[in-house]
Amino acid sequence: MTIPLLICDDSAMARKQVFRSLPQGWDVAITYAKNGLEGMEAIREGCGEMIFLDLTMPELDGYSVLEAIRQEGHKCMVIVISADIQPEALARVTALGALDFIKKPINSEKLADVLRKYGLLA
Amino acid sequence: MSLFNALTFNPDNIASNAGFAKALLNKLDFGLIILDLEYRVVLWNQFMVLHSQLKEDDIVGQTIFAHFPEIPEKWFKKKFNSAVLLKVNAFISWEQRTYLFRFSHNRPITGAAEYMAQNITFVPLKHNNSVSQVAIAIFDATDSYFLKNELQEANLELQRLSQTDGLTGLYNRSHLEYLLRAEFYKSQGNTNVASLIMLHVDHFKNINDAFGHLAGDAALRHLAKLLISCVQGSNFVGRYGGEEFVVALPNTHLDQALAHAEQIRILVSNTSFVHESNTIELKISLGVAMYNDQMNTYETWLNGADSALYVSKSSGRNKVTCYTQSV
Amino acid sequence: MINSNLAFSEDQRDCLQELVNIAMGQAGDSLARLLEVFVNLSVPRIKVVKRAALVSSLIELIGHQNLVSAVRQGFHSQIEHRDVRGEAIVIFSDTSFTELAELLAYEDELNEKAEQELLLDVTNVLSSACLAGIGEQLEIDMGFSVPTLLGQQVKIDTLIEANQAWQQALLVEINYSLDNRDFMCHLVIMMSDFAIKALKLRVDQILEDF
Repeated sequence: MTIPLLICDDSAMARKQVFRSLPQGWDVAITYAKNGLEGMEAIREGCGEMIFLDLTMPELDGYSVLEAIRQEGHKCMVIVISADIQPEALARVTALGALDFIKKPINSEKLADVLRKYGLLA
Repeated sequence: MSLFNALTFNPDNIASNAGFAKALLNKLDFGLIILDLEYRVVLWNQFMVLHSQLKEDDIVGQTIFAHFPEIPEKWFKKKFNSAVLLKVNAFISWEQRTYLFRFSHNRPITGAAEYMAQNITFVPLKHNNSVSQVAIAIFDATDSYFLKNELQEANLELQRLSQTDGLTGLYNRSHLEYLLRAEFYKSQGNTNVASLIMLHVDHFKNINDAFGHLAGDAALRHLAKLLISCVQGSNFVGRYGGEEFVVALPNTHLDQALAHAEQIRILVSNTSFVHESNTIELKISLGVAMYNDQMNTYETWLNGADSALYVSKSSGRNKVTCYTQSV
Repeated sequence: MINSNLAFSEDQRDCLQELVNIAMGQAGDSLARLLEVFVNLSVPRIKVVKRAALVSSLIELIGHQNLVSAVRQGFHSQIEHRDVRGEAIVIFSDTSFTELAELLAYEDELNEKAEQELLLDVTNVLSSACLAGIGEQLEIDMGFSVPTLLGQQVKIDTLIEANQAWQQALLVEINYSLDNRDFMCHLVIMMSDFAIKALKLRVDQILEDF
């Protein structure tokens, strides 16, 4: 079944990098968002069952998106892909409900490893 | 083995260059030490040996703190770690922290400073993108330190000179006006009082004619000394013109200013001075004006005192007159 | 000499911003470990401005015209065998020196020289960490000069000298703040004319390889 995937990052280059790191033949329907506000809109419309989320974004940052998802009660699987790699960042995002954290720059190996870890790769 | 013999760089013999590098390190006029991640000394060059009186064997393997308790340990470790973690150089400038190590400097006769001023650089030594040692270079900055001190002293002296009247040592006209302006603005729109006295030597020309210009100069210096002796607290005095002086009395009401002016007049009148075996007497005329908010500029205030002074002059001299609106 | 407009294309700007973002994240990580705090990272802002607009752009980036303290640090590198130089300024407004002293394990009395030393140290840590990270992303080697104080409690327009020779400057601005700590500052990385051209070449190469 096609998974609605949301790629949320303010950088066009980063969004492209995530797209190019997606596993071959993965059955997903992709929506892109440029910031947290757009991301939340997409999530509310059901486009974000699986989310790859950046942390440093204008308008609404990644931490706030995670909070909003929890508050609004959406069922999403969030993997944070971010440059904010300080020790506490991983702790904070997992406390806010994210599955895992990938350090930028992303590549297909890193992504595949994480997806396999959570049994998300068929 | 002579160190001089080792100082030849040989591009064809790599093994001998290690000796060359070590010898060169010991000939250069700056300190070089290497610490490992436990802050233990790994290398201690000749500059350090000379200034610390510690031979390399005495210190290698021990922490830097063991021999230098004057180094604040927590702060040093933080600085050291910034070089390790961030893998970039860290710096200490003598301008903020005069020295790290208490070493004597090389100007024991010509320079007055306690210790060598130092510029210090922490250089993380990277190997395969990780850092396990940090080199610390110490440069003697004592000359810069002395130069800066001399410059500051020269500037202070320059400032003092630009504000002082050469003959009497009192504030000169421009600085006097600067201060009066400030006093004026302070009084504007406030409830505090302030007064000023303008005074002028009586028959100064006669002194010059009778005793010569040097006697005239001496008279002015004598007067300046007397005026200074009367100044207390926030009051100040300056030379306004050739034989004209202004005494400013912040926070002083007209009545007190009048009394003060009278004291000055009596003191000057009763204190003669001797110049080249001539006894010379001085008399002065004075005008006193208190600030009032009808005065638009500080010149108006000065003019008030000046008008009062004029009255003193034209009604017999050697007296004090107060400025009131009706004058 | 004819100066072409050195403005970045949308792709170039986006690419540079993302590279700075990654570098900043690494710097933030090192900072967090060194100071044992959580560092709040902003989205980097990138502008190319004409000389006449430099001061007003800085004021816009800082967000106010109050008195500030500032420290500068020069950096240099080689891009495509060309010497590239620039300066980074860290601008502090309203700094709590007691906080900084605590973070940097400063034990002495907090007099004027101590405050200066703290400003210089923080600048070295923020600026060179971020620039080193950018260098890594661009795959170029960076060297840094000793940080020097530009001014304490001065107006922003006194930071830059008039009569500069360059025509256009690239400004990359990042602001850092620390959680639960009264501390915030702006790091502004600047380079001009020739250096901008070299940088654009490198960014184009990265976009091509991408």
